[in-house]
Amino acid sequence: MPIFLQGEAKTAKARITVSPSGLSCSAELWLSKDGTTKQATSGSKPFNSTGAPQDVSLPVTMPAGGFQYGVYLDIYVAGNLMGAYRATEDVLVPAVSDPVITW
Amino acid sequence: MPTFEPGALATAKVRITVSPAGLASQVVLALATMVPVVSRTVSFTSTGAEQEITIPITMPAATGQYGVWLDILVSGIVIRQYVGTEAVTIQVSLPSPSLTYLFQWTSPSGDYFENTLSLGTLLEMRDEAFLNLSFDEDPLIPTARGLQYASTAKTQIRNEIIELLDANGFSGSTVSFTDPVIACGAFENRYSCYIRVPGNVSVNGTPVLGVQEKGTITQYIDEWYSPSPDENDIITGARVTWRNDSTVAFTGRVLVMYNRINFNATQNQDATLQPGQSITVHFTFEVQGVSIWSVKLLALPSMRVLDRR
Repeated sequence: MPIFLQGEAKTAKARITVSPSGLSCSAELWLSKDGTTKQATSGSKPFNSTGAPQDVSLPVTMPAGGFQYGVYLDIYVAGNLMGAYRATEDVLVPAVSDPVITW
Repeated sequence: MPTFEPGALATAKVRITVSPAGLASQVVLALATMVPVVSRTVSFTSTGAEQEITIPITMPAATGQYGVWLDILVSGIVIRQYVGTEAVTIQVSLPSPSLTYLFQWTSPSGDYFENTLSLGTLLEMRDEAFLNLSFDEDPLIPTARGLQYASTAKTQIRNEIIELLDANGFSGSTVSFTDPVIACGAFENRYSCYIRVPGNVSVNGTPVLGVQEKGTITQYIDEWYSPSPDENDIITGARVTWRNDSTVAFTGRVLVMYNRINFNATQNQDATLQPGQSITVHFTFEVQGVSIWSVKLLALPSMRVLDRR
């Protein structure tokens, strides 16, 4: 499971194939603890289908630490949700308090 | 600031919360100047709540100040780096002079025995103990300032010290004293003792701020000093101060009046025989102005001095 730091900016690359080519598409990658609420999102990232696999960059800033987040990917074609996926691997954003050291 | 000896084994306790629970975590504690000098890694599993991680670590061999760095890792990935707000100081302890304090006394049966006190020992001389007073018999009474005297010649003094001390006890105002003094004594009315001890003198635990000045070292040496006391002299009060005002360590022996004192020390040694209801011999040893340790030897009021045998 990928481990990222809170506030860390990461860019996911989603390899997507939309056919036929020339369609106006968009993708959004979001992180969620419950699959409903988006704790972080790339926002809608437009692209034009090529009819072949293409990598779409989806930047996300890691949300609050201390949780494991599911990774969700929505693909829109001409504004219509054509596919909603959950990545097989979640993302872990641990949290660490300020340590207190005594001797 | 935490201070340790070079190479000492110390234990740091790190209170930390890593969440969520169940993460294979590690904490790396490092002591560093510019780069880590020593470090120790301890693994733990996060609980999602505050937990205390114990980290034993061997301190650096070199003296100095070291920053305390903590790395928190989850699954081998550093997720937090933290610099402690308090550095660690590695320093060699102040030299601890060794002390052998021999207080010679006799039991009611007349048997002599000596007590060797280790550091910090408090010995109470009980009623059945009789103080065996002795003092320098031959002209090793101080005749000049700043010198150290030693002798093995002793003469026991008759009469009870306590009563005599009480009769001519020391009390009164505090007077500053700066002369380096080795030892002096008071014998009847011919001599007086005036020694000042710069603090840390107590009688039965009660601080004694000062004593009545009976004279000065100059007076003692220049005016009062007369032929050495002999066995017919009666001690009316005495105290011993041994002081080294230099910064150079020395090893010395003082063999004066009531006690035989052997000690190795460095600076500002004071050995005082305190008159009053009890006798307190209080040694306070200092190194560079820092009190290292002290030894008190209490003699109870009923302590008596044997006649010369």
